[in-house]
Amino acid sequence: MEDKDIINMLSRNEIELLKRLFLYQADSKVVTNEQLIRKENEKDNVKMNEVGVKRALMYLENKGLVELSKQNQVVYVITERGRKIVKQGLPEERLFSWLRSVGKGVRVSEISKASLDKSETNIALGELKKLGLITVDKGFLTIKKSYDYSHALPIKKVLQKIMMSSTGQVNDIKDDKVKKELIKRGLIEKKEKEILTIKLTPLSKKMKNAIKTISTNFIDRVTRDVIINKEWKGKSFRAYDVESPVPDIDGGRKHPLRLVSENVRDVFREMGFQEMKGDWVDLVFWNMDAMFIPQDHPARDVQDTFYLGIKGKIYNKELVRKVKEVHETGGTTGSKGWRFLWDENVTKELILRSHTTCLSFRVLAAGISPPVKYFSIGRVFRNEAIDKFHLPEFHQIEGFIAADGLTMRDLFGYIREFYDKMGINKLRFKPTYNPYTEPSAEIFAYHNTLNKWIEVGNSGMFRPESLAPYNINVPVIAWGLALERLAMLMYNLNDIRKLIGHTCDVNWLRNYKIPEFKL
Amino acid sequence: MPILDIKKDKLSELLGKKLNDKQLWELLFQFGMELDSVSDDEYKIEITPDRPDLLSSYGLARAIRYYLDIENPKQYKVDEKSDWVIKVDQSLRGIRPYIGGFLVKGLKITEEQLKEMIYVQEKLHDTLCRGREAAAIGIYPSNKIKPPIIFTAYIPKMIKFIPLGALKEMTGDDILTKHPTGREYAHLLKNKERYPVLVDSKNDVLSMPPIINSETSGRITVDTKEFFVEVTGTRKITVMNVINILACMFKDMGGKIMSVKIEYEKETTTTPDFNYESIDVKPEYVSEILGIDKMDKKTMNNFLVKMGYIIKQNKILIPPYRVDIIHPIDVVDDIGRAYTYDRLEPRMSPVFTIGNIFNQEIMIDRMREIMIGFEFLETFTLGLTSKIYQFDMTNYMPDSKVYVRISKAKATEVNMVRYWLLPELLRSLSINRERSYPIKLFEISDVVRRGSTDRNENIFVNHKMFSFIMSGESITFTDTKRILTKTMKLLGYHIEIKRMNHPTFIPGRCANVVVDDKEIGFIGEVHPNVLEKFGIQMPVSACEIDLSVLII
Repeated sequence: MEDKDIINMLSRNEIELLKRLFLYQADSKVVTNEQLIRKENEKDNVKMNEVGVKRALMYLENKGLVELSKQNQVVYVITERGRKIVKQGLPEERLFSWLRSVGKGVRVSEISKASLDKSETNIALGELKKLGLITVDKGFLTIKKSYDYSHALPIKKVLQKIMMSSTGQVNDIKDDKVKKELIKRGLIEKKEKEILTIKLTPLSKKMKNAIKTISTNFIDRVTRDVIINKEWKGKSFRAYDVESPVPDIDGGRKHPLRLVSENVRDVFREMGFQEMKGDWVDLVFWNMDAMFIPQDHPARDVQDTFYLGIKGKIYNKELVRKVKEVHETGGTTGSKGWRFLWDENVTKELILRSHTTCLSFRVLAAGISPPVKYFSIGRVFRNEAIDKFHLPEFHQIEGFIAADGLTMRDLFGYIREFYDKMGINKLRFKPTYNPYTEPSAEIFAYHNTLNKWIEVGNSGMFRPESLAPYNINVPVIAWGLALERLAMLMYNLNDIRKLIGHTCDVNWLRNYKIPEFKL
Repeated sequence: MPILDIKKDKLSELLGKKLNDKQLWELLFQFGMELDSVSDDEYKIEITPDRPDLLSSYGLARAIRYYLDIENPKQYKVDEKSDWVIKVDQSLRGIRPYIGGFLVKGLKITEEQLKEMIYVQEKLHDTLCRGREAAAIGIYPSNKIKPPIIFTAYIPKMIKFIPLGALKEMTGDDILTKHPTGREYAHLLKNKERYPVLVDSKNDVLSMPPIINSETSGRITVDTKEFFVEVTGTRKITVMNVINILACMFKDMGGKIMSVKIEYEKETTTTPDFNYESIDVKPEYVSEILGIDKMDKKTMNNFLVKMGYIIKQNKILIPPYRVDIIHPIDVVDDIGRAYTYDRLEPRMSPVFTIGNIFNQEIMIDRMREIMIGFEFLETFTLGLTSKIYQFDMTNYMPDSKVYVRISKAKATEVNMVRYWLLPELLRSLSINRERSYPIKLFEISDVVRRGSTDRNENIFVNHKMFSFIMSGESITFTDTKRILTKTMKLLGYHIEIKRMNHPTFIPGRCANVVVDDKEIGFIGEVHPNVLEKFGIQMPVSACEIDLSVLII
């Protein structure tokens, strides 16, 4: 920044302060912020109270024009009661002059007519008695001798001095007796105070002459009046220190996982996919049997799937017959089937869906006319213990395309396109086994920071047996991808509990960085 | 996924070739398996679950030998027919009706091979045999047995023999209640009046399948020279599959396989059958599935040989241990693995369709935008939760039939699916109570409730709920009401707020939210005794409404 820029940024307060500092020779003498505060009676159009001075000093420090050092100092501050005394006199003085004004012999009960409050009255009576100026006899007050004002003089003097100081406080009171008396009477208070010692810097010394001659005829805040009254015409505007840091601000935000989820949805919609959805509770039939998962498959175990212990209903008896046939014998697909009895009863059990492939099969069962593309992002449930990488629920990105001429290469092609759009471009496919897809492929993405291949999803072509009950005569390529896995990669998280659930930190929600959708 | 532990030396010995860790990782990846971990002298390998034949060092090495063209597939044959007969009694019907068996001769086993036999038995029991339910394996020294063998079922207290590991005779009941193995598998014979037994012609009990062998005639050692192997089960196909997998393994170990005759009431079979079934797979079908443009028969056959198939007289023969092949598509899958997926260049055949998402979802997006405009943070809480948070801590207890209860969850505390969102938002606030205020949270997501009629197939249906909470020193009912009223107004709904009481909220500071005379939720200041239970020390005003009534 050039000297000129700094000068343009100075407010009236800052200019005024600098001028005073030059006046007080702050380049050679010790000056504190206390000295800069304007006394109440001092006329000035700039606000220069304690807070105003401090703030302006901070700004000057930021601009490199002063050097501040902080110290704590004991000060004695005049109280409201103390101020009253300076203006109206001590209570005993006021009571005495009232007594004198009404003449001799006043009833104690009449004292309330003197304009003193109760505690003042008590103090006044005590003091006057102690000084032997009055006597109380049979409910009557009598003045014994005339008042000698000298006894209260030191107290009043000190109080007056404190009140007349610009800040209403002093650093010390030399007379210990007076100090104690003032504190006892609640007229002053002992406080700790932060004092700023100010030193001019070489920069401000260098700019001394320029500062002394600055015109203060500029526009500071642009207010409504400034605009309406055209005050700005022909004037310059004070420059702001636009480069200085500002306080942090928080606002409302989408959840980080929502951001990824929306991105996934947009990518699929863009690629021509229709959305599917369904209930979290589903029948074993739709979750397993409808897609040719054998009835003895380990994934059906209560150990792995949440069973409700309640049975649902299957209305489509014809479909049940077809599913039974294909499981037991392979039906007309050229398959041998699983070659053991298929039990309809177990398929009526209700479970929390363990994958969203059940949605695809409900769509197939409802009837499709290829070519079609479908997708869903849905919650699925597996009976797992909670740790850094596992929760008993997560989101599956399900998708399928049913169209003539699709092959494994198209499956790879569509998946690659999807991940490419998500910013993940190093993929590898590994053969795997799923009961309802054949061939099948696990999808691995290369993690550049971890330096290894990690699994991000599973895919394949639906088996002829799984499609048989639905009269689908075209190939169907399908996949199930892990949303949270994707999100953890994007936000560089190593604990799923930081991403989802009530354990999510509000500070992270307020401050998470928008991912670049790149691995 | 099943894991195979295999010694590095053993693998090299069986392959006749040394692979380094990296080469093995790559090979397994292409084949469809994973190198789980490597120690100084051992690999742990994740075996693809459809291939139980790979769950032994011999089986895995065999597949790799073919895959790497170290060896061409050989056809397994029975070496000799034995005069052993197993007679199957009708009393097994409904209990465990199927059996197969064979004899192994000419095998001098090492300590390590003995261990492997027991290891394979366990691995197959856990996988293909479905925890011994579908099938169970027994191996015996054959010289202790005097054929013919009777496979029958006895009343438990009539069964008397010394089970493996015991010192004295036990009855069938004793074994299931007192013997450790018996106790582990007792559920398989639960409620059966009779238990299966194998008895030889001396009337000695050889074993009580699927539980345990006899100590006298059913313990194999390194000195055993001839073995009798049997597999019993409830499912014929599984029994035959296990017999074939084991017979091929014993053959690979260097034994001679002698078949055994099984006499059922109405039919007689011989096991193992080493049946090489032929399957018809056309190269065009392979091209159609994998997208490889030019696949001729010769190329296809080369890949098939790599995967262990026998090509004979122009026919594709499936090896007897390949129990996973049930359709030509499974053969195509194998060809894909031999061809390797890395060579399947991704492509996108154009498929023209129009993308679409649900209108309701768009509406919900708009609501989220409005809430964010009001400086709310979106939360993403879990669907699985606990009655403690949902009901006990909110003082709110609906009928126990209207929500989904979960039992046996491995995650601690989980015992239901959320019925409403508000308790989950309060939990979020509770965890974040040290953060700077005001804290304003919202969520629009699903809860599950019993449908209004039970006509739904799945009885319980999802409801889309909209919930928000505001917490801070000066937050009151009015703040929440302003947010709700404005949000709904922007969406085109006129809501009415009607006084009512709800146990979660402060009496007199809580109301029903009504749209078109339908109560869709409530709004109020959360009662301090609820806040106290959640450990929240700041006032909270909250709202929850059911959007399903409006937009779904």
